[in-house]
Amino acid sequence: MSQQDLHLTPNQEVILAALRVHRRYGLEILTAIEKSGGKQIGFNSLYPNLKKLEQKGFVQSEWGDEPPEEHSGARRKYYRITATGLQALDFKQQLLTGVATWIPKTEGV
Amino acid sequence: MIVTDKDLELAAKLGRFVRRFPPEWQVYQDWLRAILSSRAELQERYSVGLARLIFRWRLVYFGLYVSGIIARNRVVQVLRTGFGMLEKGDNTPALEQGEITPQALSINRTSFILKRMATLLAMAELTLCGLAAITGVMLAFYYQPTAAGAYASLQTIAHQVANGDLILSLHNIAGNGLIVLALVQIVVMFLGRQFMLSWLTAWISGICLTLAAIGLSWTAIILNWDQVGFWRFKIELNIIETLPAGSWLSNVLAGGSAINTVTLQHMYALHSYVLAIAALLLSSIHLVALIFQDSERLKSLT
Repeated sequence: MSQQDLHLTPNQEVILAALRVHRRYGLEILTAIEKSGGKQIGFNSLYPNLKKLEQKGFVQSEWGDEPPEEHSGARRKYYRITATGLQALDFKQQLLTGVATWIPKTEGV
Repeated sequence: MIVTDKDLELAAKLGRFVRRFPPEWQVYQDWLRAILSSRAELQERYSVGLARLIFRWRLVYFGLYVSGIIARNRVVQVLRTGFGMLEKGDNTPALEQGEITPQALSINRTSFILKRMATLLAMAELTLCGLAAITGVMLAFYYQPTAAGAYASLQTIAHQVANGDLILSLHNIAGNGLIVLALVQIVVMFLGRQFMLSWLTAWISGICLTLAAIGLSWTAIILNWDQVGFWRFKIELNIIETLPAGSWLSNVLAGGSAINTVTLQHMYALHSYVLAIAALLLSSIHLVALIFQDSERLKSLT
């Protein structure tokens, strides 16, 4: 997979990080990010980002066992990070490390 | 209680609406559930009024976002299946890439092409309406709806304003093109008639759109304030006077017995505000109804 394919936006990076260890549902992701003091994500941007991550193959979703919501009949979905998602997170981490450790070449006298 | 029964009813309505589109419902239903589940958290954090406002905004945003996705997917589907048909050149419609069900094989090819054509024409009509609206707004920056200034301002637009001639031509082409497409659409829809609510909505909105397009063209004839437009309008106003309650209608349209600045302003208001907005709304309704028709037809096949 090319570097371009592994590109993550800041919001997507935080969402993926929240899924690194546990599978979570949408509101749980928001709470996890908020309680751990991470970058805040707007409620309305969470789901579009999750769907994009799913399309890219970085996360996969599965239905929860909870009964459908009584008014809308909507079911809960849990999201789980995939191997590609982990690869994208690691790539981002390497990039940050690379930026931190970069030093300019000394020019000859 | 931060959320009223009305809000819950709105959420239920949204749920019912999105459920009409199974692929999108499968993808986005958890978002709707999360909005409803977030009530308690909103109640804890914000005052009642603010919490209610945020809850409603989330619902509205969800509705708009998912509607946009549905519309985009349908347009892509229409284009894909349209092009699929042309590429295949056989008697079977391509429902999805590589997916041809036995039921699909039995669809009448002509009916399929007509329905696809109707949706594509509706998209073209909406595009022309949008083009006419944008160029119309641009023309309105310079156009003067007065007997003394109309002709001169149009000459200025055509000869002195940068790209004025192009914008004027585009406005004319879009207006005339809309009439042509709307008339073709009536025939196409009649041939591919399907007595469903979505078809009926598209049919009625299509006819109203045609009338609005003709009305736009008719109200524009005097706006040039040249000899041809003036005399044509005068003759047609006289014809209107022969109708029952015609003299009243003629007086309302012309703003009196004579054709003057008031007439021009009446026609300008009808053209720019009433009919233009009506045409935009009708073309949108028309396209949405046809997209619904497509989705219902596809649903009946699967």
